[in-house]
Amino acid sequence: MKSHFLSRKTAAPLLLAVIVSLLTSCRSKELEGVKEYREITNEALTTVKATLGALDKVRAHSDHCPPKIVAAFDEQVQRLQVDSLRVRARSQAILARGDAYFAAWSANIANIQDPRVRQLAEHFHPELEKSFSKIKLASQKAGASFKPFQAGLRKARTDLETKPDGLASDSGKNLLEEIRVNGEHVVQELGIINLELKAITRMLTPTNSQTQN
Amino acid sequence: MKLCLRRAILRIATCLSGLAIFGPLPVSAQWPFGSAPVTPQAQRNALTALRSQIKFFQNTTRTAPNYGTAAYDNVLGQFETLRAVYNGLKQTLNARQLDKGANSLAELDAGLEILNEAFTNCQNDFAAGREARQAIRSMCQALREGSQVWAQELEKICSQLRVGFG
Repeated sequence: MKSHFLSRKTAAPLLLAVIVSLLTSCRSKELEGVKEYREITNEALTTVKATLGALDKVRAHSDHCPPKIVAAFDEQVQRLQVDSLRVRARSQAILARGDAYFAAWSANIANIQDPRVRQLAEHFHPELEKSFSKIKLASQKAGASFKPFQAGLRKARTDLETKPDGLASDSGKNLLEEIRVNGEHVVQELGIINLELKAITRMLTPTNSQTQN
Repeated sequence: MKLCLRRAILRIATCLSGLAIFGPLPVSAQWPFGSAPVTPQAQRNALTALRSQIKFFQNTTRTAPNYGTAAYDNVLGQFETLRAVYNGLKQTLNARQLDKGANSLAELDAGLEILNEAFTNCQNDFAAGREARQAIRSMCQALREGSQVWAQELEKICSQLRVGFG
């Protein structure tokens, strides 16, 4: 009997840890789609903000932009294209499929194993639909600002590559200002999407009292 | 004499590598006999073809900047092949997979549309007076890195939809 691999004292907490980790992994899997959407929105937000930072450095040196700042700006414009890909693809899919997107998403939630989440999804269905509508609208607005934002960045990059003082003129300064305004709109709309996703997560997360029930 | 022979071999090898880079791709984009078979085997074959085309496309974006503006059409051609092979894969999905993955597939479609914008951006860069070599390099970099992100999403979605397992 002495040869038992685990004693009761060590096995009990281990078993408890396994159960807790299984439960938490179940819950996180169920809301994985929302969590992932928040991650890609945050990723895009970080990149857009970094691009605005690079743009501000160019604006501060628009009379004669040093090569180091031009190179950093170019790199950031490139990064933006790639790092925004996932959130733009999701936004476009939401806009292209419209209500069908929400219907499919709701159907997936209805198939979730945890009955508490299913119950919450059913209870908050009108609120979830409202949140989805806000996300759809914000996606549309973000896309509308993203296009001129990106086009402006590309134009500014070409001007800077041609001449270090390529943006010194009034039209150059206006271009930089326009880019900034469009970039800020994108940040604002991505922020709205993020807020709604947080609200959805809250709605679909069982509270402690429900867990005990 | 030996030197001449070496030079000739080198020239032939260069020509062949050029053909390999710019030649047409021997991948059938779509099932040529009516509608594609909706079987796990057909899905596995289509997915393998798509993975190969993604690799091929990414290699093209790596080497293309060395060929100047001539590379534009080649990269575009490879991208169109990639899109066709992806559409071929979609044709092998069954009704349940298409229904369950409707949102995810719409995202993959949108991802390809966004990647396609790199070509328009490049054309706009040419028109705005950007140096062609730089414009091509930027385009290829955006397509290479973007297609890596797209490929990761593809793998994730194929795994969720159990593509190749029925």
